[in-house]
Amino acid sequence: MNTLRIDSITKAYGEHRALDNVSLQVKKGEVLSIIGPSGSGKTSLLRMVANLETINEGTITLDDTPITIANTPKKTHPKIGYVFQNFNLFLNLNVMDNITLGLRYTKGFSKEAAEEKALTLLRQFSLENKKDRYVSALSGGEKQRIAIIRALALDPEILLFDEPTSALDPENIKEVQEAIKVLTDASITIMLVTHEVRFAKEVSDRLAFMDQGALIVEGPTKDVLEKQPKRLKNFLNALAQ
Amino acid sequence: MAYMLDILPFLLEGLKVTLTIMGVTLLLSIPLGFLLAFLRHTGLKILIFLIDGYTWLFRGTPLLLQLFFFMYGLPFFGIVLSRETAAYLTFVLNYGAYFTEIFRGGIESIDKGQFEAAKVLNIPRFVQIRKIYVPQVFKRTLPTVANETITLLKDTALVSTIALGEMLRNAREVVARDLTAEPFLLAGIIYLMITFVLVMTFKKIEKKVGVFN
Repeated sequence: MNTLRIDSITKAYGEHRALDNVSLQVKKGEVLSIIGPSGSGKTSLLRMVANLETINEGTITLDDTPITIANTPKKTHPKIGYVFQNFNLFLNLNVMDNITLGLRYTKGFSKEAAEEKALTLLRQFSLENKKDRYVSALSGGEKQRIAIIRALALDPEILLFDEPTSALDPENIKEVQEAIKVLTDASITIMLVTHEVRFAKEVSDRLAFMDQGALIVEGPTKDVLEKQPKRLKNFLNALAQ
Repeated sequence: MAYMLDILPFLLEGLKVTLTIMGVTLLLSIPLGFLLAFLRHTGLKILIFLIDGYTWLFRGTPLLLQLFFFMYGLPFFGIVLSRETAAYLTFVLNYGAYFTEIFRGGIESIDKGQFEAAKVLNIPRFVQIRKIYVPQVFKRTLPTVANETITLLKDTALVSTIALGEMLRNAREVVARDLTAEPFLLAGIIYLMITFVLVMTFKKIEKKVGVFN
């Protein structure tokens, strides 16, 4: 029963309160999407779950075990995978090596076993013909799908997506969304920060709306969209324009 | 022409010294530069302070002064070095300082996102450096490193001031003996030939590592 529990998280950068007493919970196999305007703190929250940033107050636990320590840098929990907005693939490595690096040096796979696993995943996402390409020779959509495979290769139980389609051209967005959809159908737990409300609606079990560092509303996707507190309504109207 | 061929062996003997100093310097100062640049990147204040102090000292004073200090200054502190050791030490430390700064710039030019990706994948720090950052820093700084290498070739002539028989010193000796400028001409031609080889070699390396561009 893998439950990720975010408990009363607070984070300030100088005077600016990026997160203000935010609490959330994601259960095993659930897809939680976090939406909200720029600067609402949604990406910061995700980064803190992965220990890319420290928290000032509060705790984050996975199955009741703390995975963060306030104000202390820490490693990313091995059960957590992260997909970045800008892919962050290793530029000097080809696709295969991007995927196998973690398998070999974090998980201790042999070169052959790592490549076999990478190939299986590449096939699953119809990218096996790109395995020898360098990052610069890939389209944005391909880069992001490779980044997803790279995270997936380490068998995370929770996958965090930070605006995975924001840096993409419109024609590439769909292929990445399709790739994420495949995962949402599997049993993997997902936290997805996105601007794509329609996509969030489609794939999420639960929806959270954040604004100005605070969690405004959270619950089953349908309920949240039906109730629509005023700030969420304003946000959705602004997006629709 | 016959005269040139006549004096060539003596100049080549000096060239051996020139190339040895150059080889030892490159072999040691490049790893030193990488090591210090990455140590500096850890962000530890004391390390930054020490490394910046080192690069300031060695980039801020003439190479010739450093050479004199290691050769003629250290004996006052009870440390006597051979001419070769003094030359190697000076050149390695001096060029190490320049390479540290060059590689520091290289590391800083790498997009922070790759560091974060390596962190979330829990790739051990040493593997990150070896497999991801060193190759990228190497590629990005290659043109500057090529430049430094050519400068180094010419800087080696300074060791003649501590009576090491490198190529230019040998050429000067022949000039004084035979009262002709031809040894200088020959030395110049040899320098140009080596530079040509260096430039071509670096171009080849650049092409090879440029593959991930």
